[in-house]
Amino acid sequence: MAIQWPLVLFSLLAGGAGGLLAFTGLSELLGGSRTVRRRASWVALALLVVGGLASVAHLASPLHAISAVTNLLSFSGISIELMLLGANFIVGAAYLGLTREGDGGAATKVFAVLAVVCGIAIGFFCGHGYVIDAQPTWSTETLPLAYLGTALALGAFLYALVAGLAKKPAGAEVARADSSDGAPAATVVASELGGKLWLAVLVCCALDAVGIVAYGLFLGFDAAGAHGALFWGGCVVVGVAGVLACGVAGMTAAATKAPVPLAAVGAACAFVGGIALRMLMWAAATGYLDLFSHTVPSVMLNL
Amino acid sequence: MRKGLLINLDRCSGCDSCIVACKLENDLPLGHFYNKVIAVGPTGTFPDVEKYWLPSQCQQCENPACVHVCPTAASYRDPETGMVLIDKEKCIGCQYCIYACPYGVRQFNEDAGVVQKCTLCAQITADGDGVPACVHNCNCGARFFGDYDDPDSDVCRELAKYPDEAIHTLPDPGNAKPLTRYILSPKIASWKELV
Ligand code: SF4
Ligand code: SF4
Ligand code: SF4
Repeated sequence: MAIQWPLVLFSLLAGGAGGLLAFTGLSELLGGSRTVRRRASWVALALLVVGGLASVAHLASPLHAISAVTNLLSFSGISIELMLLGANFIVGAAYLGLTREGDGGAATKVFAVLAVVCGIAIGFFCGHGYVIDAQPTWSTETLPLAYLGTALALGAFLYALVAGLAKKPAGAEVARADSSDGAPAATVVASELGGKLWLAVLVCCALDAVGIVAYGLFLGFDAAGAHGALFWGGCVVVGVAGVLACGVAGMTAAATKAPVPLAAVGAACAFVGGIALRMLMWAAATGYLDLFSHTVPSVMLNL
Repeated sequence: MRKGLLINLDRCSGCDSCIVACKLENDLPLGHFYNKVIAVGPTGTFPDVEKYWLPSQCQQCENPACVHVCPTAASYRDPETGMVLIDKEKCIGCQYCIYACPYGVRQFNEDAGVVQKCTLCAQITADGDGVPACVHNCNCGARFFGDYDDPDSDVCRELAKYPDEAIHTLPDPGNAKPLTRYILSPKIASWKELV
């Protein structure tokens, strides 16, 4: 089937935004910098908007999106994605509103939990809508798992990048602001999620790898390998090996020496891997019994 | 009520009249189809070869995936007649129904920005009289239209002439329950599952 670019971009960008929000929520719960969280939330909102616009580009006319919004309760795959898109946007915006003038108190914690839940959910459900009987190569729960893993890996590295770029931490909130290495970027990153940021990033990288490999195994090496560059190059080399390598490097001295380049390369690998996985899904779609793909209706021409 | 088509492949000559009649009746431009006739075969080794024609269109599923995935309820199953139809006013052209239809019988109309498929000629059949253009114009008398729940309908009367082994549906990937039946007697050709 033809690759549907708007949907490829939508699912990865919106899922990545969800990952960013989930990390923002974790930082709020486990400890970290408010500045970083707020910047990450802004980036997440921007990604949700860009992703949403990309999905609208898939429709025959952008105005048609309204019809889907007004029929949300159909609980079709698309309406669930739309609901989660809205929920993530509301949670991100509410979090920004609450923390505008310092710590928002208990309500902030509630929104932090919501951010984790909604952020993870959107990554998964953007893939779950494709689990349908009519597409044997999509009809597997490994597909939403791979969607979730790639989205979380992207969100995780983007969060580390935002933290690394926040050279001026919000003072007292940074638990280890006076750490000995003296590199501000590394210090902010190291203090995020109560000092567990790179561990959380590694967990997301592992999920990304498991998801992609599981979907690849479901397709089978013959079917997946038929799209050699996409599968072996984009998914396996960049999406699995590249992402895992960056995730592991985060647990080493590299994370203190060069957190920003590391996070940037990680995000780039996660992005490429996520795009490749989604392209593979479309390219490998066969349909169950694709009757109209027989292009010549006249039997005489077949003789 | 479950209105649908029955196609007797013992009688179908593969003439394509149904395609032409459909395109004329529904004013379908070049490249657009509501139905196609597919050649199945030839299979076997000479002299034991066989081949049959499979006129294909929406199978009028009783549990239609196209309806379940539609985010705007543009695709719907008429509760009275059981006919699966598209309300083009509501269709936003998202094409999810195309991905979700197990039989690949929906098409996207780029110009109108909506998805289209066989309507069982609702413009002719909605009032309860009349038959779709393909049925009316099938010169071998292979196509029948009617209510599968009414023993007196054209489809049920034709079905009653054949043993179970000659009555087929397209394979079902899950729980789609395609309503359309095909008659193909083993003496003409063996039914192929095609999946
Ligand atoms: S054959 Fe396809 S279009 Fe027709 S009712 Fe079934 S799922 Fe819908
Ligand atoms: S293309 Fe139209 S009929 Fe098909 S799922 Fe989308 S809105 Fe429904
Ligand atoms: S018009 Fe009748 S005989 Fe001709 S291809 Fe269609 S179903 Fe077969």
